[in-house]
Amino acid sequence: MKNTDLLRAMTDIDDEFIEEAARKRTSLIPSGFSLKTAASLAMVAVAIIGVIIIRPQLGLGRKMEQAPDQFVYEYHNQTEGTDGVRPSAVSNKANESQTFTQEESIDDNRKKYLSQDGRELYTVRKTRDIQTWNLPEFTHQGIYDYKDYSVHVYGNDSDTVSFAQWERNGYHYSISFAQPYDVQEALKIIAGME
Amino acid sequence: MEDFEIVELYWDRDENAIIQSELKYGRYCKKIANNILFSNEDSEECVNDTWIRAWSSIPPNRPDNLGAYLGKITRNLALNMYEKMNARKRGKNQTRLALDELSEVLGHESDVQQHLDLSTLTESINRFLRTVDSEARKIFVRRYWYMASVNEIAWDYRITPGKVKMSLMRTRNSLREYLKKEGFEV
Repeated sequence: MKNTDLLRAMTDIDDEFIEEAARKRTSLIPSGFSLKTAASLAMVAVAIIGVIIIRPQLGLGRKMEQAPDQFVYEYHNQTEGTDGVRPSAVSNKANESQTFTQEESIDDNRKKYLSQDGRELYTVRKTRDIQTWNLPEFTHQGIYDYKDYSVHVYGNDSDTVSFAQWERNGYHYSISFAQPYDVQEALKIIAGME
Repeated sequence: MEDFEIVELYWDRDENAIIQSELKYGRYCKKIANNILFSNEDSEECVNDTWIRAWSSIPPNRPDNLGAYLGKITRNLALNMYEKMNARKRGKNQTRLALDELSEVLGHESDVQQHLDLSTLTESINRFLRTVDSEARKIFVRRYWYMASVNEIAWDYRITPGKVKMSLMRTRNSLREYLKKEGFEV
């Protein structure tokens, strides 16, 4: 048997498996749940959302808009088995020259951001379609949850980001940094792109 | 337009069938081809050929699931093209990586070619997939049918790439054992 035989044989697997895998996210209502259970869950969800929205307005919590520091780190350096651990103290590499002052459209989907002295800082790509990347040189460093979306960050070490991607409001975003960026600074930039 | 209406157009030999197929499934098929070929131009060619194949195969076929039907045609065309490209040493994409991973299932490729009926193998894979839990099955199919990258799967299912790799490894090992029991030389 050749390796390609398996791939070939996979082509004609049952349609239901192909369809199932095409549905990317797990259904909110697992099979076997009654509508009554689903309705109860929905009420709980509404209550939780209500608390999240109302709390800041009552001054009981920090406003979500303050957020870059509210990115919740989901996992980190998974290969070393340290899931759930926040990155160690992040060196603050931000300086004024990293703040963009000019932006240039490369095409309909991409914009380049430049520093005051014309240096390229980063490029953002925004598309309706899922983007594909070839990132052999970077390691997936973790996922940061923020508001209703998650940002996947990639780089060569845990303190800096060279590339990140996220999905929001039906758009797929990615950002490529010309030089590795401090994680927190990168997240601030991403949070500012709303 | 609903699938059954598009299929009716094919049966009526109405060329609007191709336009509607392209509108509804063009991006879907392009994604499948591109995951295998990693080339916009080659993927376009495969997708265009998909409509021709569909035109010549419906009728007599009347697919219940047009998306899967067209996806399978695209996947076959893309694999054909991939094999030609690979012969010219141009292959460098998820397909190569997927093949490397699947080599764990097969061990070494047999020097003496086993007489293999692919449809029998497909049936075994179908039976195997029914034994796998839904999450692992979706990950497996996304990787080896859609040829999605590990990072893309992690992103789509909101899990870590490590978890995707672990799930794939377990499913491959289970498949290997399953195929052995079914009498395949692996």
